[in-house]
Amino acid sequence: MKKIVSLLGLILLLVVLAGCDRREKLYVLNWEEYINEDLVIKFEKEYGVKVVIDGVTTNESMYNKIETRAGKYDVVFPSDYMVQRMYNDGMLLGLDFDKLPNYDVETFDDKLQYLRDNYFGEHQKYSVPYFWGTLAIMYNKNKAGVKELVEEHEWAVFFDKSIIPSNVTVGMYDSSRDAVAAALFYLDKSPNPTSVDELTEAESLLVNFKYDFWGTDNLKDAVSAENLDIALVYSGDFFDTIFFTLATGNVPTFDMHVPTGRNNVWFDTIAIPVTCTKIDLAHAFINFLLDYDNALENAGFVGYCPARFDVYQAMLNDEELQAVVSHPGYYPGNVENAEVFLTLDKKIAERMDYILTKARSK
Amino acid sequence: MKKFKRFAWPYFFWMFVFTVIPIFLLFAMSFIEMKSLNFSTARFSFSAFSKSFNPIYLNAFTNSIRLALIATVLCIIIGYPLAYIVSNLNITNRFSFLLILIMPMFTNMLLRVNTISKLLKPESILKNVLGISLNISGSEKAVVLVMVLMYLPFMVFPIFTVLEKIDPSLLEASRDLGANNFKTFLKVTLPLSVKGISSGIIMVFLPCATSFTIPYIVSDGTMKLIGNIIEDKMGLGNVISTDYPVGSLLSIIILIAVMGALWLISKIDAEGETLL
Amino acid sequence: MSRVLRVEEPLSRKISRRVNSIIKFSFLTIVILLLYFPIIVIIIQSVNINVQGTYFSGFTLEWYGKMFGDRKLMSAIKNTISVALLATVMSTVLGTLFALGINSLDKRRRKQMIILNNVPVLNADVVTGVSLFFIFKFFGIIIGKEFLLGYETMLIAHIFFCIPYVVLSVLPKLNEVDKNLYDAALDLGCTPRGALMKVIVPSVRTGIFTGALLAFTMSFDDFVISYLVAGGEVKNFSMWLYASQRSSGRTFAWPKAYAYNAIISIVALLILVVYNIVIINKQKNNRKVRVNSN
Repeated sequence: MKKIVSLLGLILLLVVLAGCDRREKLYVLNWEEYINEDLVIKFEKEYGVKVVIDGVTTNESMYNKIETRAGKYDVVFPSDYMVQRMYNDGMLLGLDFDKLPNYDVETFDDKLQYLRDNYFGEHQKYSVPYFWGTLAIMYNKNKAGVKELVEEHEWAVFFDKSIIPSNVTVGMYDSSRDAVAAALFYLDKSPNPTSVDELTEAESLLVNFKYDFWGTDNLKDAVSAENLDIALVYSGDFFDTIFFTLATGNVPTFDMHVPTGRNNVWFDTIAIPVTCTKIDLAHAFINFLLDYDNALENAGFVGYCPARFDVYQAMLNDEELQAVVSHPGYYPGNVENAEVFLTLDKKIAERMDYILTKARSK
Repeated sequence: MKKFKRFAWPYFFWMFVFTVIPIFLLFAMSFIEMKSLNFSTARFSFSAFSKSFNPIYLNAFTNSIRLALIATVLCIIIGYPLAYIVSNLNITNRFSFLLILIMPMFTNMLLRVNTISKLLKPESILKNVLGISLNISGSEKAVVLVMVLMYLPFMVFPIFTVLEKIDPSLLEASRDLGANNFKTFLKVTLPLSVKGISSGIIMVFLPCATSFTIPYIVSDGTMKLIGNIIEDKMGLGNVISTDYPVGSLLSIIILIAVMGALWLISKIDAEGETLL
Repeated sequence: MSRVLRVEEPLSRKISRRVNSIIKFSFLTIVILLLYFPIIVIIIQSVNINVQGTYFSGFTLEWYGKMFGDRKLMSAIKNTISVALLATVMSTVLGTLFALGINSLDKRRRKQMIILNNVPVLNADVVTGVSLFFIFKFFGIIIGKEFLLGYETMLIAHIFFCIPYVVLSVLPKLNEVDKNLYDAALDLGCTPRGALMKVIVPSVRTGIFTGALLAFTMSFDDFVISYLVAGGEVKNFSMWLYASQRSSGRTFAWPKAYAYNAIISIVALLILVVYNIVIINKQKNNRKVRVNSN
């Protein structure tokens, strides 16, 4: 008995010692692998604080975590349409731009700023752009005919079974917004439907095509491992995988195509939620990320295109990064028929979700 | 021994708070409609019921039960002989065997499921090293296979425990009375081990039927079983609208099933204690 | 002294027995191999240069080094181990006491308590996790602390679902203990605590041990419940792995995970081997004593 008690005491002591961190903590809710860890350490050293980062893989999870007060997050990284929704639901604090000296609208990419002005004007008081990207089709170069298939048919590869040879496997992104949008783009419709009826055709497309794989981040791995031939991904997923493949000294067996028809251009932002308890520090963190050098260091790690145009230019001129960054799919500004996602009516959002559940439950 | 009764009350209180109250909570939540977890928007409604009783969920339910049943039966077919063989071996330490069975469970289940799932894909280390290319990833076969691999020890434990307890003199007596080995097994061993089999069935069937990691990973996301649906509704998944009332209702249904199973056990095993 | 008559077995009998043994042995080996196959692959992948694991490109120990250098991972591992150890100790102590309590109830109450006890064991992970989440949430609202979730709630949750396993392991053993043993000990002059510790506990020792082992395993490997109640700051290994499934692997999450689990497997195997050696030695010594005393 004594032995147990003393063992318990020892363990308790170890736990307490291990957890002892006198530094002030900044709680961040971000996407997984969406920030350069070296930068985080740099910020920690500069401000003498500890940054605790929690990760999510979808906007909806992000929304949930803040709403259910799962954590007292100080900084959060919602996507464009999610900012709208969070703002509508009173979940965001306004930004104090006096505390963000690095914020300069001129530095952002023109096309990105255009989207912000035209679709998210109000919300520019609540968020600061971070990275931006598009939807894209990632495919296995090594399988015969796949490249031609994707480049010729674009969105149809996900919805028209008749053009897919029997040995070619197709994967869909497990996010109702993106999957349904792809179907709507194929049907040449807007990704922001205003009534549930507009979804009927999209529904039958998604439900009837038997996808070989439903996933999120694991889609790009499957393609790069040649276990999947075609997949709907975010543009940055592809570059992420390229960086990684090159870093491990392998030759990429995959490529990506950005559809020339309608396509979604989105941008992620940094915002401060109402759960913030360290407003000044939160602003300092955002300001830190807006800085040119930090943004450049960040962009070298994260596979997406940075919001700052000057940083993008610098990457184009960088010897090492050039080969990767000059790929036409990298810069979202190349998309001609850019469509943004806007917040949808709850019934429509629920319907999209239902469509996905139905499509996956055969 | 009666003195120890006072230890039972705190446990009752503890379980009441953490098990019984949540049941009432979940039950209550099935009758409301609200926006995410914002209780101020909660209103009384039967919408959770109408949303839950639709063919998709029913489909998922029947699929879950079917696959779990197959996995359980396979576990019995493999697990019973295994327990039987080991209990008849002459090794003097039974505990070692339990340790051998339990050891794989120390490695993280998520990792093990992912590892196996990768092996079942066409491009895998098996193909490139041994030339064996399995292509069953994504199929029901694969899901059942992984379920069996993960939960087999849970079937073996209770059967083994029960077999160990069988008094060898009973078997001797049976043989003395003229029964051969097979008859002895059928008429003595098997009936005595029914308790163990029923425990095993419960310990395998329920986790398999409500599992969400195994179907999600092994089927490459193409299969949604009831566990996945509940976890989606309760905020763990990738969906736009988590629906706590629907999730609660589905959870209550599962709970009722579990209670039913417990009631069944208490009928077969009067003491209801040999779950392990 | 007795003379034992040896009856010669017919050859067919001998052969069928041999075949029987071979079949049994093969069956045993195949099943054990199947169960251990993932572990073998994990160990192999932990030293594989190729990160994706589809090829074996060469042998390396770099992942082990990288694993220790990853502060998020190490923090998750520390949490997993500390929670598992603490939860095991607490649930074993509490579980044993509770089992004693249940054991001394009348038949009807006892049945009810056992049903209550089995609910967490049989309930779906998700449902248990969500129930706990709601309870913690409401408790937080009552005491005015909105952000209650964290290490402590995860620990409480683990203790919660581990206790039933301990109870289930100890209770059957308690049944076998003579009801009068405790009173006899008291009569002989033991204090109640002494009687408990020196008489009851040793006789249910194997039950307590099995219960502790089960509790540790369930806590160590938990994912869903921890995910739901640990809040935003604390992660255990399963949560870290789930989050790292975004494995374009710039942070080489998978190889590090393999390395960590390889270490665990090897440690567990060593414990198993050592345990067996100790037991075998003990038995040898016992036999020696017996022989010597003849």
